[in-house]
Amino acid sequence: MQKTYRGEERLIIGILVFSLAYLLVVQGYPFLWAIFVSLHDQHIGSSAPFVGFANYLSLFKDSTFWAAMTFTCVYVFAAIVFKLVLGYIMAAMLNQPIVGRGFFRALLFLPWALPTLTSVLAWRWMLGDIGGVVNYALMQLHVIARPIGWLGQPALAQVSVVVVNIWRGTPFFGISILAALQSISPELYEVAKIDGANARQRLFKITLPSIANVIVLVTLISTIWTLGDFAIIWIMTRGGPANTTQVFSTLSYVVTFQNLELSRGIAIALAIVPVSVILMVVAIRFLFGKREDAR
Amino acid sequence: MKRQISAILVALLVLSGVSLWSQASGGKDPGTLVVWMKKGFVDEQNVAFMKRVNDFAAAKHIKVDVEMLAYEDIYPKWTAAIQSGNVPDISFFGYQEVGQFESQGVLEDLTPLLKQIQAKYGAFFPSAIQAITFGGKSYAVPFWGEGTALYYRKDMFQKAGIAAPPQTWDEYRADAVKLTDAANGVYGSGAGYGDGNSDCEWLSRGIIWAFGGSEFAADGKTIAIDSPQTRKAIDYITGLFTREKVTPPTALGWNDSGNNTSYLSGQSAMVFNTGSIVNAMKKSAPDLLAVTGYAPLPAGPAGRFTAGISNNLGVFKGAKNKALASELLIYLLDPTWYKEWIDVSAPLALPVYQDLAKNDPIWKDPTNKAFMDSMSTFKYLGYKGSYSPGAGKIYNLRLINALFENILAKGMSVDAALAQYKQDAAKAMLP
Repeated sequence: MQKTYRGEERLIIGILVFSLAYLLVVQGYPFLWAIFVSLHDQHIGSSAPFVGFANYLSLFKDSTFWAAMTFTCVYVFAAIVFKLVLGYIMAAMLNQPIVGRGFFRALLFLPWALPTLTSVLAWRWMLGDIGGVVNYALMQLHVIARPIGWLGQPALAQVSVVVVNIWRGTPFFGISILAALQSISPELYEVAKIDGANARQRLFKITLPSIANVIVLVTLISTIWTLGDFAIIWIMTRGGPANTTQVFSTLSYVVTFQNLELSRGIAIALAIVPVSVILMVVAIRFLFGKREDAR
Repeated sequence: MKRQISAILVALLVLSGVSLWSQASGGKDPGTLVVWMKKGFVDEQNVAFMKRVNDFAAAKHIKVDVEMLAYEDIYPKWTAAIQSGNVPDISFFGYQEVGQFESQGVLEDLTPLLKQIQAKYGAFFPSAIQAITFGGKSYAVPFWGEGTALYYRKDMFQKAGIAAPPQTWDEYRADAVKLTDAANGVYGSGAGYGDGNSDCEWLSRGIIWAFGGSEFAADGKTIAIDSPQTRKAIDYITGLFTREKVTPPTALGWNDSGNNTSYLSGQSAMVFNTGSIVNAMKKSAPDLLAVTGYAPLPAGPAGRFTAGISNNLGVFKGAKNKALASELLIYLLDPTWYKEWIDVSAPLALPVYQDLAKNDPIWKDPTNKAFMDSMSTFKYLGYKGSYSPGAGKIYNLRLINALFENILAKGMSVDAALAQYKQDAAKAMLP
């Protein structure tokens, strides 16, 4: 019995050591290296003198960085709000006993399951002027007389990338909220109905409090993902026109790989880390804090 | 069960160890010749290049690893390679990268090799050598050029009563007005802007230079964009979009395929491009090919200018097999094979040998001639001076594109857009 206990202990220690080593090598080392490089003036192939926080301070004087920061905030906020609202609506509809519910649930999941490159390229094509479905449909409906340059005008390009992010990210909210809705006992609603609660009261007194945990968690996780989003913007606009859809990740890529300014590019990428860390800590505390409470 | 889990853990540790070792050593046997080449639009050319390198390897009894990479994918690879010191033996470089990497001291001086190749096989175009020569030393071997020509629809010209392709930019504008039929979705000038778009970077420079303007003074370093000549060129270009309205309404937001698609779909009557559209038409639009004419870029008050595109092969200082790399470069530039390799993609890739350009009948063909002729009007980034890494950086940042996007998409005044350009360019010029 004791022998078995020791064996299990060794196995647990082994797994822990392996996990720790994995984290240090795969996550810790690159992160620390990135911080180290951002404190130097490292251009690709050149020597790298130590410059302290100069790279970070120079960002504050850079109008492109501020433009990227502003649009990152707009992009994340707009995308999250719409994904949450649309995700809830989708989940609420698919929670009803409608015909073909399984089919519609699978359909809801589709945008999330498709490869990003394929789906975003499809969007780029749909928004195009030659053979683009969006312009064609609007012209057929006589809404517009000539094709619109969806990705060529700042405001339209900003709206376009946000819309694609919403389209792609809504299923995550929808599926998560749907799972939470299904865990609510129908008896609660029946009792509430007997007690005379109307639909609005049932929504605010039963539904939303029951799924609040899931909503908070998916919002936090999706915010972290959206903050780091690269593919949608890079494929659709490359941060243009005139840097109006530039976000941290695309700007960091341009500065690092096109200008070969490694330190500055990494400083841009790291500038978003404090926000992501705070969100992650909140998410983890929320998740595990709730579990502790449940015990 | 426990044994199985332990075995899995051990296997994972071994695998991660192997993977780390492999990463540290680049995963390549030092005896393997590593070649990174830009993947071209014409598959036959890619296949022929790989075969040639493999033939060399077979003859030398060595291993070879050829990677054909999309241009955009090479940047991250160069970055990682230079930073880690694990560089390929031969790599493709645009001339802008040659200048950029030369200034960082990571490229091998190939002047003696260049002399050896020319002594053996014939002279290169001086403009091709000029593009990769800094301080009297050449840091790459020119491999092919890319010319730009005006594509025009002969049938639409005839219908509009235009007898010949435009010889000047004024004629171009007048023709574009005549050819535009917005109600039917047809536009005279298929030029556009969009982030990352390189076509517009080259074309805009060609127009600015033709008007007598430039980004740089003769020293190649002083920013001289704010001149009356450049302002005239800016007014000319922006006028096509806002005054004459001869460009497709969606041309702001085009990527590099924008003008190709526009011409191939019949939306634009005139576009400027390398030979890529010719190859696309040969493959899938023979009817359009039959009604397409080609002409050199129009001339401006200062003359006829084409922003030259020069593609090269170079060797990093840290390469492990420099001697073999030099041998392979000589082998690749053997005119017998080289001619076939160039011809298969004509008029996209232009030969770097003067004799080949002069004597190969393929370049007398009217379709190819305009592209070949453009090589004699080549000027490079940094004009009116010589190329500098700062000029390359300004190109990589697409600052000319941003200048026009600021005016056309953001509604900025010309003064404000020029001020923004000067500020960004000055920053880019910093060492």
